[in-house]
Amino acid sequence: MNPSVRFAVSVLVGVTLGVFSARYLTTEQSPFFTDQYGYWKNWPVAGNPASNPYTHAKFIANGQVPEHFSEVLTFYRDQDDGGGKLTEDCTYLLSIERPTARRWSISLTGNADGDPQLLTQDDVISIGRTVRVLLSAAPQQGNWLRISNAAAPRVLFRLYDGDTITAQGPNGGGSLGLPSVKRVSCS
Amino acid sequence: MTSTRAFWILFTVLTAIAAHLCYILFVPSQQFHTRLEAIRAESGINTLTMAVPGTQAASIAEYPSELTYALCLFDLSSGPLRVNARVPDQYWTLEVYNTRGGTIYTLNDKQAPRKQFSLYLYDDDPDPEAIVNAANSVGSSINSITVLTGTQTGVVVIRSAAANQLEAARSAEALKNTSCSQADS
Repeated sequence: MNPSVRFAVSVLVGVTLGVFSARYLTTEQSPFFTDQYGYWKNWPVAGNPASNPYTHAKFIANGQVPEHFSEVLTFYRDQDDGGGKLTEDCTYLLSIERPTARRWSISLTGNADGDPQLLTQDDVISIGRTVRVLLSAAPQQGNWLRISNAAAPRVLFRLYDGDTITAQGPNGGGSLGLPSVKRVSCS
Repeated sequence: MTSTRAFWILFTVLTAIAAHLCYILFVPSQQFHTRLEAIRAESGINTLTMAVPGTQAASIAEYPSELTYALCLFDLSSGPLRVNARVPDQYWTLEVYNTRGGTIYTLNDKQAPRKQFSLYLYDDDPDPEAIVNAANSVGSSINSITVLTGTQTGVVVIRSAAANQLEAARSAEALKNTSCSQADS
């Protein structure tokens, strides 16, 4: 092969590999920079001045500035406890012991209308300490997050308040007690 | 033949590494900078802007259904910046970022001295007299916070709870009385 052609092909292949690998590593699918707790994931160093270029790039590439890691922890998942992808064809039961964080929320994103379904600590109804939320396309009694024409539904669990996060967080030695998401039924 | 092939494989790998590093180090920062420029063109500089849907500023809001966002792009080349903040009696944070998205300073409702305070941003060590004068200008030094940014440009982001109508109303009322301007204006 002509050296000029070899050079061009090598540069093209090299640049393509370099750019695609960089883009992949700054997505939420990246296996290297997300912390995983069962099926829950988070970007632990978001907003930290000592964050690495990949975690930093993940946020600012979207034009967003990450909340400081001492203020908020955001966990997300797109699978149930059995490892199946969340789908609008099924109903799921999310349950958790009421978190001690000063503020927390559970939301569902990915619906076709774009608006996330949101429940905060003030919204949920619970008897005792256990909070149960049903994720379903059909209306449900009690706490309900609607899945609506969602190609890839995703559940977010957010804990606010630096003190609580420091005391309970993954690096604080405590247990965050992340919610379980069990499949109840499918149509 | 084998050494020629090895050379081109090595060349390809090194090109990939170079492209990877260039992308990670420069492209996201440039995208962020472009976003800030769009906000600046729409909302101006050294002024507080609410990130309401449909504006460039709204693009910075990662969780708009949970929080109300207000931001102030700053340029300290003409002098320090003053944020006169009226904050609601509920969860909020104030964070200062540089134009590369790095965190410079963070404050929340539990750390703030009062429900009303002034935050001064200086890009370098200020004249101590200037700090005293700035503090006196708002009545009490307890209400005044000084931050050395180490950079002339960046963005102040205030996030406030807005997960229900009551919280959203409190946030809107407080932020309506919050301002961001050059300290000597």
